[in-house]
Amino acid sequence: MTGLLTPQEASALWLSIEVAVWCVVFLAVPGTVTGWLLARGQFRGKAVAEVIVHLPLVLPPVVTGYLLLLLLGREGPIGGLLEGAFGVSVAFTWWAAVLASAVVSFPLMVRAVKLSVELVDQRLEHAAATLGASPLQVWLRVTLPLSLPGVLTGLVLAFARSLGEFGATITFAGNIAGETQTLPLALYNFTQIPGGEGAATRLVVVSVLVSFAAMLASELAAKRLSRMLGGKA
Amino acid sequence: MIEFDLSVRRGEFDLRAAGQFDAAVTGVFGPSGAGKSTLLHVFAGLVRPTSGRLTVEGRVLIDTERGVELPAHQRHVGVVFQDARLFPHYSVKGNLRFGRNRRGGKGEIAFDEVVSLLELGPMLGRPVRTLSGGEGQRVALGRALLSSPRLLLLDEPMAALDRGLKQQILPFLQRVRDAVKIPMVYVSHDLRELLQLTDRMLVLDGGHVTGSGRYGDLVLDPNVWAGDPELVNVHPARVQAHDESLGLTRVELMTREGEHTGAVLRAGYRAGLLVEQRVSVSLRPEDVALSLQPVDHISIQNQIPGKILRVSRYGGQAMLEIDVGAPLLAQVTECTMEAMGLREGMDVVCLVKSNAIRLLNGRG
Repeated sequence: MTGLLTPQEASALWLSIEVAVWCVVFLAVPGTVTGWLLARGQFRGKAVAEVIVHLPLVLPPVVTGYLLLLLLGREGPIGGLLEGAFGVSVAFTWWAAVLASAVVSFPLMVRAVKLSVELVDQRLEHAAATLGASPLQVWLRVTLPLSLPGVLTGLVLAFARSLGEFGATITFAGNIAGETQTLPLALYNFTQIPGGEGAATRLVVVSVLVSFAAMLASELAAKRLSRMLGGKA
Repeated sequence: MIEFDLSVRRGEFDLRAAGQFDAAVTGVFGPSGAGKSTLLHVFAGLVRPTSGRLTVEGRVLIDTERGVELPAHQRHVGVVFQDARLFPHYSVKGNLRFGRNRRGGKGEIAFDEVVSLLELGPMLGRPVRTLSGGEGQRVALGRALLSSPRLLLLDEPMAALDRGLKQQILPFLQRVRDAVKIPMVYVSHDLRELLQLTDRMLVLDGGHVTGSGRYGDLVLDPNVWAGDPELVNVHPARVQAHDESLGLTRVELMTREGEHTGAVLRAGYRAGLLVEQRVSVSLRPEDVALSLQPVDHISIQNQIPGKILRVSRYGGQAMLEIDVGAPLLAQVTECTMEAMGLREGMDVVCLVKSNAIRLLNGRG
C-alpha cells in the first residue's frame, strides 16, 4: 500500500493508526472503570461527574483542543508545572495528538461501557457475593466479563473517533507533518493547495478502507465474544 | 441453630420477624407478599435490615446495636434463587467451581460428592444456556453447596418449574437434606412441596410471624393461616405392594424419622414406583370421611381405625387430628360434628377413597 502513497501520505496514515492505537491503549482501563462507576457507583456529585465526562462529546472539538491548550500549554497551570519540573512540553507534540484524541474519545468509550454494565444482571452479582466473592472478585469474574462486548464496542468507537479527530488535534497538537499531521489533517492540507485533489482522493480511499477494516474486525470479535459469553450468537 | 430478631422496611412494606430454627430444614411459608423472600435476603446479606440481630451457630452476622452487619460474601450463607442465576459465561463446571475458593469454609463437601449426589456428571462440560429449568436448579444447588455454606437458603427454588419437574427435583433436595449436614431454610408458598422436605416451619403473613413450630400443631391453630391456604396431609411413606391389574398401590405411612407406623393406605395405582421405594403421600383433609364403625358394601377402599386426638374449629368447619399410627388430618363441617357427636378421645374409622390419595415421588 505504501507504494501507492507518497511518503507524506504514508506517514499521515501510519501516524493516524499509531495515535489511534495509543489512544485506545490509554483509554482502556480508565474508560472501563469510569463506565462501571457511572453505571453502578453511588456517590455524591454523580450527575456532575457524568456531565463532565460527556462534555467533550457535545463541545466543539476546537473548544476541547483550546481548553487542553490552556491547561497544558506552556503558560497553562498543568503545562507550566510539567515544564518547570521535567522540562517537558506536551502541546504541539505527538503526545498532544494522542491526548486530544483520547479526551474526545473518552465519553464514547465510557458510554459504551456504562450501557453494557447496566445490562449485566445485578442478580448475578448478588449470587456471586453469596458464593463468597468479594466486590473486586465480583467485578473481575462477573461484571467485567459480561460487559466485555461494551468494552470492545467502546474501544472500537474510540479508535474510529481518534482516526477522524480533527478539531482538537489541530488546535492542541498543530499540523506538523510527520509529528502531528494525522490523516484528516493531511487530507485537509491537500484540499487547500492547488493540484492536491489526487492526493486527497487517495487519502479518502485509505480512510474508508481503514475504518471499514476496523469495524469489520470489531463485528467479528463481538460475535465471537457473545458466543463465549453464552449468548446465542 | 439460627436465631434472629429483625426489622426491615422496604418502601411501604414492613417486616418484623423473630424466631429460632434448629431443624435440618425449616420451612418459611406464607402467601406471596408475606415477606418470605425479604427475610431470606436479609439472612443472605442482600437486603439491609433497619435493626435487629442474626446469629448462625453462634456466629453473629447481624447485630445493628453493635454495628455488626457482615457483607454477603463474608457470611457463608449460600442461596439457591428462584431463577437459578447461573453465570452464562461459565460452563456447568465453571459455575460449580465458582465458590470453591472461598476460605474458611466449614464442613467442606467434595466436588465429586456433590456431582454424584445431584447427578451432574453428564452435564459438566455443557454451557448453561443448554440446561433445562430443572437441570439449572440442580446446578445452582450444587454450586451453593460447593461454596461451603454454614447455612443454605432456598428461595422458592421450584416456583418457576411446572408440577412434573418439581417432583423430579424434590428427591434431590431430600437427598441433600439427608446427606449434607448444613441447616437449610426453605421458602415456599406451596405446603405440599414444603411438607415433603420438613414439617418444621415459620408462617409469615403481611410482614408478621403468625406461627412457628411443627405443622401438626400449627395446622390446628386457625390464627396461623391467613389467605385460606390449601391445608394438606403430607406423610413420608414406603411402597409395600403394587398391583397394576387391581389398580392399587399399597403404602405404609412412616414417621419423619423413618420409623414404621403400621398405618397402611391403598392408593390408586401409580406407574414407575418400586416396592420399598420411599414416597410422599398427599391427601386433602376434606377427602377424609369419618364413621363410628367399619362400613360394609361401600366402594371406599381405606377404612382406617383411629382415635381423635385434637379438634380445632373455625368458621363452621372442624379440623380433627386423628391418630391412625401417624397423625391424620380430617376436615368435616360443624353439622357433622354435632350429628355424630365427635369429640376428642373418640374412636373413629377414617374413610378414604384410594383415588383421593396422591403418591409423590420421593427419594430414590
